Amino acid sequence: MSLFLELFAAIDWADIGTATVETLTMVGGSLVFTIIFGLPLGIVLFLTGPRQLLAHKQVYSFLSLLVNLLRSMPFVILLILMIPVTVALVGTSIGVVGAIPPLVVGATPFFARLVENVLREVDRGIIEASQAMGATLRQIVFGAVLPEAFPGLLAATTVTAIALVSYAAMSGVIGGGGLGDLAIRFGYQRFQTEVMFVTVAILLILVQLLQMFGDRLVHRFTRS
Amino acid sequence: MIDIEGVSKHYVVDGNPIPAISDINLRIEPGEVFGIIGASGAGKSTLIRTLNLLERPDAGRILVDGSDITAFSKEELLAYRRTTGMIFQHFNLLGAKTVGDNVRFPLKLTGKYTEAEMDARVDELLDLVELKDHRDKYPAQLSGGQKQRVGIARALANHPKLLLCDEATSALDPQTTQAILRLLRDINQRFGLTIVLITHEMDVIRAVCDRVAVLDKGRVAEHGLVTDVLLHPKHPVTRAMVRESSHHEESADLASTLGLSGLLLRVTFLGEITYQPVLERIAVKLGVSFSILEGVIGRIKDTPYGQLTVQVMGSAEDVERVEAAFAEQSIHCEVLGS
Repeated sequence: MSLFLELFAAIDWADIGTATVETLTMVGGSLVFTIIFGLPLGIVLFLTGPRQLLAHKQVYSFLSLLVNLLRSMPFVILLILMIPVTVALVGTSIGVVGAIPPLVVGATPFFARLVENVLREVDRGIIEASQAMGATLRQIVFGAVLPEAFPGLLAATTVTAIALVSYAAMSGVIGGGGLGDLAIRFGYQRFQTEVMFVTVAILLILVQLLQMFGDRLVHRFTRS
Repeated sequence: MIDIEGVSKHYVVDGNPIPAISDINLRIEPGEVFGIIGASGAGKSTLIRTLNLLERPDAGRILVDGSDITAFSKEELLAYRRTTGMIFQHFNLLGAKTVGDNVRFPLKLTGKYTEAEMDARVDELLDLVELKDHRDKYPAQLSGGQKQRVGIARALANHPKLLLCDEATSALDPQTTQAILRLLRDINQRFGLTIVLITHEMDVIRAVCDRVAVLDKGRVAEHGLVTDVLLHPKHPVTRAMVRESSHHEESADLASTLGLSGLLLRVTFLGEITYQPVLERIAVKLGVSFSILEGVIGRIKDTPYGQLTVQVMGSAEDVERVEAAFAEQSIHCEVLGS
């Protein structure tokens, strides 16, 4: 027991607290922008896909390629490639603010693809019925497809939020702030293994909580 | 009401054009219940979908009250669809919306009503389909029959003149099917609504339709009054369907099975005369006797009908006199051979 306490005595819990808040800010902030950009992109991918309402081979192939390109790029590489863009956008490439643009660029194609798949799962009969009732494209998407897909979209958001937790930790490599930054600076560079252990434990708890919260929301909005 | 003129539609499967319907010509009268029957793959689903342009025909015109819907602008088409109801085999209700909101959906689409007007109309419609107590439930909590009632309420929301039914009872059990068909007949009579339905079940045609078209391989094999088509089918496909639905053997087969040598007649009664002792009267009057080999007595929509295969015991002259006696009462009588 005393050994256990000793092990953690050297940890600066205030630092851990700050880093946790930073991580939450990065995840939360980038999740908002990921949804803002990824949801419309996912909807367009869905609508222009084969045999869909706005089926358009060229547009779909182009967007699909773009999404695959970004998704196939290792996140660490994206972080580095994005540095000039990030500086131009938010004035810095480090800290919490500097981490958000690469996180958004990394997560948006991932989320968009999830959205596309969720929307494709919506029963075609529902789209057909809406068309038969004289719904416009906008009414079909916002009045029928998105409400029907809502639980699936919540699940996709949960998966994306969890992916963002691990991306955010990775951004510590280029000085992104948060728990990842702490783990690298103390746990790796200063050989304080216990800090690494605590950050990983906090990340685990964070992921677990996000998943539970997400599952609960999905359950709440599922009508079957 | 609807004139279907030379309508064709094909699909491309693996680069090859596959015709779904070819040169369909039909006229659907206002206020009637028009049935389209055919085996799966006969093209009936494609045909009914051309009536609200869920499928756009490759060729031909569809005139509804004189205007060609295939030439409609986008806005005209939306307006037309809003006053054309459609119900589906798998109901296609919005699972995330309550029963009330499902019925409200088509009202909302028009953007013409206030919240209070929509509330009142939803109540009225749910009352009509006897689902008032289920307003706040979700479709997943309802039985198949109840879901189809919601579908019907939703289809009627914008006071349509035309209701399209796409295999509306095929996913339902027999009792529920009867109840839904009664409801369709009721709304047809009450609102003078024209109904076009497709089905693969002859019983559905028999129960609700005034006229029927039989579809085979994308073409109209025959069409006409249900009483004519069902009692005197001309096309082999129709004959097969009628026979199957009534579980009858072909009468020629019957004769050979029974080893009968006498004269076989098929007598068809239509209307109130079905319930009168016609055979007995003729037997007494002419001194012949009949042996009934097979037969059915029932109703086609509201019309009583009977169709009997009888063997006439008597001479050749007797048979002629029997035929004359039937003719005298305008009863259809067909000699099946001896």
